Amino acid sequence: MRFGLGPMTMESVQGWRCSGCRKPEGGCCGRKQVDIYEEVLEHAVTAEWWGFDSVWVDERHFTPDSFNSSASVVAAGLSQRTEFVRIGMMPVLGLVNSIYVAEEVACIDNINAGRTIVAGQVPNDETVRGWAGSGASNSVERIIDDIAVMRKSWGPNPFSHHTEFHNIPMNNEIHIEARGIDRISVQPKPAQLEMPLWMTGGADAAEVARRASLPFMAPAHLSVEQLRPLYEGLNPTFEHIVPLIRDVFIAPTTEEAQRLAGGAIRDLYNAQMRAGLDLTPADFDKLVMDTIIIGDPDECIKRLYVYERELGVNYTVARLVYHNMHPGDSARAIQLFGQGVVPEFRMYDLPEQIRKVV
Amino acid sequence: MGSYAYSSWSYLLESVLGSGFMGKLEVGVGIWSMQSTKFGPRHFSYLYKELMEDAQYCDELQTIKTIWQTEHHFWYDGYSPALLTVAGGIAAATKHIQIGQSTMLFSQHEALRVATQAAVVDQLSGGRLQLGLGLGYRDNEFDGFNIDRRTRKARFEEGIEVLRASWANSPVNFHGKQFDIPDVSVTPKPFQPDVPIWVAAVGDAPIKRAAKLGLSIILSDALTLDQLSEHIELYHKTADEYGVDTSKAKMGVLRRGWVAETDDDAYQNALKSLRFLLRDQLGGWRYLKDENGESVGFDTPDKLDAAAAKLVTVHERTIGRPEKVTRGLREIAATGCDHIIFGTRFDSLPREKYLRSLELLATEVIPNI
Repeated sequence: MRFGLGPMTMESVQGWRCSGCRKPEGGCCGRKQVDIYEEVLEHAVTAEWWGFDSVWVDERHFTPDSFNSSASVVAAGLSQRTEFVRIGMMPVLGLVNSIYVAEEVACIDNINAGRTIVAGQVPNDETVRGWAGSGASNSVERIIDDIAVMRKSWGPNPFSHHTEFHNIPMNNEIHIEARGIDRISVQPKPAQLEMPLWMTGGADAAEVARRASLPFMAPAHLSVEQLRPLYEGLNPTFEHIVPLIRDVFIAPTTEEAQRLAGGAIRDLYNAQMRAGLDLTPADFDKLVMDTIIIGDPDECIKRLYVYERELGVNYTVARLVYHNMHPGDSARAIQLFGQGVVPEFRMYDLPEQIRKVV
Repeated sequence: MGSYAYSSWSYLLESVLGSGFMGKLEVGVGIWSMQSTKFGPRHFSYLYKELMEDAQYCDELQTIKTIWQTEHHFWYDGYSPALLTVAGGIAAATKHIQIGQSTMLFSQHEALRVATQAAVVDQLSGGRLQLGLGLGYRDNEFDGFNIDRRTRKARFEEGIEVLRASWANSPVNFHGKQFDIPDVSVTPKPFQPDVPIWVAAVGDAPIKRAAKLGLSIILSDALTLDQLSEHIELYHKTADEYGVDTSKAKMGVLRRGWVAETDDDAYQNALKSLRFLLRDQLGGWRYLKDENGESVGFDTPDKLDAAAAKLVTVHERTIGRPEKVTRGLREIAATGCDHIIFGTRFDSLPREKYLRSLELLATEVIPNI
């Protein structure tokens, strides 16, 4: 199994006191969103050092918790700070002419010399409402059309693309007749010959993945039974990747992991529920049992094997970083995950005596 | 009356009186276009790696205020199309230097998308974004994005309103002819409470438009010193007429330049590449004008040569040894400019000499302006 860190979300809720804050009770270190963005770049370097395969950045729009709204911008920053890990970016598709996204991805892929993975998202209804003036849609057909435009943009040849959703180039008789130009060539091309393209999200994203033969990466809050129908019938063509996002936190003991991260993750979910995540507080308690992995290395390993066994998951993107926690605790969790969990899945026939030493 | 009252005599006076006579001139460098050209066919990853290294180098030199990027789309040599994305990389590479665009072709973008991305760049950089915006002019760029070129001015003006509404604390709620955005709150907000906006101002109308909005301007690299004075005077005169506060507005200009130990070294390094840039690259876009003000291109090679040669003379005063370039920049400052974009990015120049030029600019020119 391969492992990614993330997705990084950079939300900042006013009034949060960061869990594990080193300041005395009643105060807080006063981290602002600008600090959180810088911490994310540093966490990426930490993950690279401790053997992760990738670092991921998420994107949402118009959220009350100030969730990161540009995966592209942060992906470029992560690309610059790291040398070897892949950079996973999760742009929301269906909002604007997808040439914009294609151009951004191509630039990022050149900044990181071919280390990009794109996992497209289907926008929710509120996001579509905000972008309606730009022709936004969250229909499966629209997202598939966006993917087609991006693939043409990254391909070697000039192209045109006239559909219900895109008109490339514009049917401008004056220009086209005057110059004989009826196609465009998006430049520059990505460094990679074939851009790894996945879909991430719920049932609509899974449907796009199914129809476009892409890997599908389910979100963190769904249980095995909820995930099973989403992963059925997928026919990924990119190295048969079966990725999954999980909210994970790890510490030397399960008790310490729960003490450090339990409240922080609950606060995070509360914020996401206020932002529209379709859950209730009662659901959260069930999530802790079913999907959120908080524990020592053995507990994390045991829980991750379930997804491998039940769903064939071979690429886990583990969050580990919660912005309402102290960044030092997150950095230690990244290290411990790299030393205590990743080898179990990467090092076949690892002697038990070595595995146990963390 | 502000500093715009300088006229052509003032920069002569300035050269006699020294730098205390003028306001502080900021110097930025640029303009990074990321082109893999016919004569310098580099892998794009190499070009972007160099950009990040250059940004770090300029950052460490400390006296250079801003690093400037430039944008085009669908151009054969890969001209950089995604400035705010790349700005995210520059932000991660640097700590102090400001990050500007000269310019993003704003009318070719969705203004709401620019607002969201600019806010993230500003957060990621700790408040170092200088958002430079232009109209754009190439037909096939607008066609590629399915945007009618004839709407570009309206898109630009409405777009500025969208930016400001997006970064304010209340929901956007903007309903124009070009952009229609309901009551959504754009988050996150930029780190800076008031992100500086610069506008490319080529000609009287755009200068007046910027002045009415109190925005900083970036003037064309084709202007003589007298023309610079006139344009800046027009800006301030217009702002005064409309009662606009321009206390935060910067008067910027793009000037091609190069610094070496001797004038001869500088000419040898830079002039050939500058001519190539002006004739073969800008010529392809019909950027240059003849004596009648008509655009010239490859179809009129003699006029193109003449126009390029004329423009080389405009930049000649900022190419040379440090003392000469210092004088050249003081002359520009005396026109009322307070930010120069020192355009050092010529095609296929030896990297070692390029870095030396930046070093001389930062250590022997800027401190002495």
